[in-house]
Amino acid sequence: MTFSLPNSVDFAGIHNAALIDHFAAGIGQKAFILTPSYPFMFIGQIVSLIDNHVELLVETTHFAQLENRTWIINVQNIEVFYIEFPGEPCIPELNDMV
Amino acid sequence: MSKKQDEKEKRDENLIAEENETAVLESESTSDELERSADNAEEKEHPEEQENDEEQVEEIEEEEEEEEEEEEEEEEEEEEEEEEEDDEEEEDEEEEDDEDDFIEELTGLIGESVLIVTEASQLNLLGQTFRPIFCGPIVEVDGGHLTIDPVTIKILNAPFFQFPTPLSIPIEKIAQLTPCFDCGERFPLI
Repeated sequence: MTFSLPNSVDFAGIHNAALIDHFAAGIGQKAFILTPSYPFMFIGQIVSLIDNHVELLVETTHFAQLENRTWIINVQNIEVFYIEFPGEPCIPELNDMV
Repeated sequence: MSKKQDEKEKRDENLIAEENETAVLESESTSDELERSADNAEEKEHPEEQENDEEQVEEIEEEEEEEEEEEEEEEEEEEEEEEEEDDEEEEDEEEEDDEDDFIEELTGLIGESVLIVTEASQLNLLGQTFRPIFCGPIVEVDGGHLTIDPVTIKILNAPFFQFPTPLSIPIEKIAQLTPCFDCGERFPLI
């Protein structure tokens, strides 16, 4: 009837909020994350969420020097991931991967 | 007097755009009992008005009826307003539906094997660079991501490498996807 409002629905925002909720639900679980930015891969426990950043206690990346420390990763930069919820398949050790 | 009231009735009924014909017939036939009964016989679909005419109901009752009719008009106006509001609500709902459309589309693809390409030009898995091209059946769709299991990654040296765990892809990272894709299909990885 009226064509008042332009489409003001922020789809991306809704999807990103749902994604952040999903990571928040995985706090304490182990996660595997790939990003297009160096160092490309993170494996570790989700510690907390800071706004739209996930705090990860990283056990494994490509380089040993960058491991065993906290990384704060922008959720919007995550290209693909897996959160190891209880009862789900386990993230394998580094050497088993490729 | 009774004719006046009938005319009033007629006006009211014209206003609500119902039973115009009946009202005309009634006002014309007030003076003639026979004619009226003939009309009534023809207009059996309006039993209440027929009763009123036949019983020569008192002024008060007719006035009450008029008031009721006025109230009905008001109610109708209110209903129209409510309908307008309903329309607006429906539009809102449609907008809300819009935001779910892509998710719904993906939900409809659960169980189907899809090929999904994400935004990054390349990813890196332990030194192996590869195009972010993922293939496999969708097993889960949530508000912000979908999950593929088992998932095949198109690594250049190992184009059918099956990742050891399921993988989730953020909805906003999906650049393009095609449903009903056979993961055994060979295609150039440039």
